[in-house]
Amino acid sequence: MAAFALAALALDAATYLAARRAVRTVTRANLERPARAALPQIADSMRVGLSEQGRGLLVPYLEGCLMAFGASYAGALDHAGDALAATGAFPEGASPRAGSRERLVDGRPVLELTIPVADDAGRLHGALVLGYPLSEALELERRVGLRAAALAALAGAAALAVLLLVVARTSEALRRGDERVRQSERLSAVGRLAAGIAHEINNPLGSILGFSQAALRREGVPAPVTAALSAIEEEARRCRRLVQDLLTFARRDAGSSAPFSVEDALDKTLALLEAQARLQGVAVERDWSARATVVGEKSRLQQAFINLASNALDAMPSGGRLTLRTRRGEAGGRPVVVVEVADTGPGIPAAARERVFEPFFTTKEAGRGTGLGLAIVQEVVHAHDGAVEVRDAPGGGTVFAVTLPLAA
Amino acid sequence: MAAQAARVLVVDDDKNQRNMLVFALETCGYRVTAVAGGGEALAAAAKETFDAAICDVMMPGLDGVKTLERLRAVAPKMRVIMATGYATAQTAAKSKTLGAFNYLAKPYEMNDLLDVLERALRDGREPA
Repeated sequence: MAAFALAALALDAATYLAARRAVRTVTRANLERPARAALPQIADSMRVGLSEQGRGLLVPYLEGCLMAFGASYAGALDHAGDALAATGAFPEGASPRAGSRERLVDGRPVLELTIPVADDAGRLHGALVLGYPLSEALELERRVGLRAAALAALAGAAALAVLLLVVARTSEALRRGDERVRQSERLSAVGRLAAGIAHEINNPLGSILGFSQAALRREGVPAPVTAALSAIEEEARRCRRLVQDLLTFARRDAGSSAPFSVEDALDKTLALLEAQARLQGVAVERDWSARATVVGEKSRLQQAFINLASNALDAMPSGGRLTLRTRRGEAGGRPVVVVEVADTGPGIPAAARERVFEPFFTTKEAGRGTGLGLAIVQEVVHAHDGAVEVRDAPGGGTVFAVTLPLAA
Repeated sequence: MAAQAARVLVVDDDKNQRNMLVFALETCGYRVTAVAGGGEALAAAAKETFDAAICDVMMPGLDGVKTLERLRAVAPKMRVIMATGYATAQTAAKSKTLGAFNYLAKPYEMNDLLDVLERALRDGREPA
């Protein structure tokens, strides 16, 4: 098959080998040992399998792979090689074995990339398969010599998708209330996995982002290639955002904890978002009735507040009012501060409200959100012995209320 | 672009990362030499003068931090920028105390790279 593809397409062998090497660099995906060690544990606790809903989480991502990189098909396989989710003209006979191979699909030559997730014992837990039309890859290569970068982009995206698969399965099992493994243990396993994969992805992602941004600065690049480069750049940025969100979400190790003013953290949050609010015609109101001090990691809680406030802004693209309030209260016999973030947007439908804190649940259009914003909020607030809930605002819109114990 | 293009040494064991930096920096008019490791970097710095270096932290053999220390000894005028992945952010922060001009966390924006590099070159031109 390889010989056929080479002959029929008169492929430049050196270029082809360079692209293959780029893919192999990522395919090898040398996860750090702790991350590898965590894999069987995760797989064992995920025997429940991926529900229809869980599969649904993967499909938009796979479709993103098709659109952004011109792949003709994409699919996620489980350890046995059965397709969990697939898009495009996904062919029979995809293999969960690592590597890149040429196939004829519907009479057309396709470069099929398989990025597996395996543990130290070589046990396979899943794989992502992408089919890339060789003729298009060649065209791109002839014009700007960026095929290696494009393929590395694909492989980086694919490695991410496998990570998504694992996390989606975790959240699915959590939702089903599997009691065999405690939630914190599972999340720390995902955390180690995320940290390991994040490190492996940041390197190739750096090449992808750098190549595409530098190529965009070159003169005389034809318009279709500029469009392709811009798509690669945008997708690389999206992957970077996702990696950062995953790390924030999965980080379980406590950083330095210290007392700080809640209102001060909220003021800093608003300072970051006020320009965006003005741009959208959103009025910002603050009511600091609590004047409260809590103990915790200021930067993480601030991240949670930023996520809530920027979600509120996203709900009001053509104006409205963002209100941040603090008040003192009591929960479980303990004095608390309640932080409310209210918008005057369209509100959240009851069906979606139950799921807003689930990882990868998003109502935003593809590419806008990572689906981790509110999952991060919940994770951070729980880590601080707090609670977060969502309700309708009296005059329309949504209120998120974060309850945190006051400093003793 | 300056009348005389600045000379930049790129040190990274990852071929794609190295090629990317050469491609990016040459696009912006710099004169670039790329090597795959600390030993080669020291040899290159002994042979010719570079205004700045961009050095990966995690490399087999002579790692980024050791390379930084030796480059600083061989070519004290050369400004060294460290580039790091997620797991080595602390190492990179430490490298600043060992004489690195600054560090970049991968994946970085091209604008940030060029900004840090320009500041490093300005810093190198100022009389001590």
